[in-house]
Amino acid sequence: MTASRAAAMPSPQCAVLRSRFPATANDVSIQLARLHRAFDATGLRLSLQHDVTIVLGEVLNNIVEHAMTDIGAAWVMLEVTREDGRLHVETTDRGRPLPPALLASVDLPEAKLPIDDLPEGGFGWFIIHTLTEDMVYERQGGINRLSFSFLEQADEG
Amino acid sequence: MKIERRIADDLLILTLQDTRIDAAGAVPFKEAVRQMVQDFDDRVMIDMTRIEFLDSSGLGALVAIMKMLGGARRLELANCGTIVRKVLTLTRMDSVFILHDAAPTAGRSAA
Repeated sequence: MTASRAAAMPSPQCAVLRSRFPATANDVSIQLARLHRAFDATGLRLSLQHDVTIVLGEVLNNIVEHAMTDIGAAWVMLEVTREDGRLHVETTDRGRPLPPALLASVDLPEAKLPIDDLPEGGFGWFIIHTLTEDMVYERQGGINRLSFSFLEQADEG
Repeated sequence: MKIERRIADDLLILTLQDTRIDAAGAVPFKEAVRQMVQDFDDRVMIDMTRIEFLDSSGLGALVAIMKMLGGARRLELANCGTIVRKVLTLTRMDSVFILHDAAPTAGRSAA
């Protein structure tokens, strides 16, 4: 992009998907399928669509599995928006706070092991950290807010 | 999950008819495959052609299925799509399964 009007005049925020849904694994599947259809209309590059879908699957399932266990009828809010050349994703929920250790860093489970000793879990947060650079977590007034974003254009080089 | 089962020589091929292996379906998927692989002691391949999405729970289910095979048998995966490959590569589990570009087309139905 040359010295552009986009830089001088920030583009308005544009929603790709906004929804509120029950915190269940089935509803996560439904929302990811909705996102897939919503992405079709955007023309965003496929690798970006894939990364967002992979990360969001892990984030939402983590909310369902860990943050909500003791709370019935819990809801999750999801917002995917485009602004200033970035795709922004934000989730909010009223579940338990996230363990701080998860947000710092996570080791990849060991893959060079005999079959019987291979891990069947522990991949989720590793995937999230590997694919995102700017994950922010806030806890305020009993609400968890996770947000992250991706550059719409691939980095060159 | 609907799964088609057929045998080609020494190979049991399970073709998944759904488009996702995720947290919502990982447990029933694992159970369905468990029933299909019992009493079969040769190679097992899952045809992933239709799978558009795999999450970490689905990946865990694939590992659990490989453990069900017992002994030194590695689970084989055929025709993994872009997202599936990305998840396998990121977690380095692409070295744990045996990956094929495509499943053999021959074989008799073993339903």
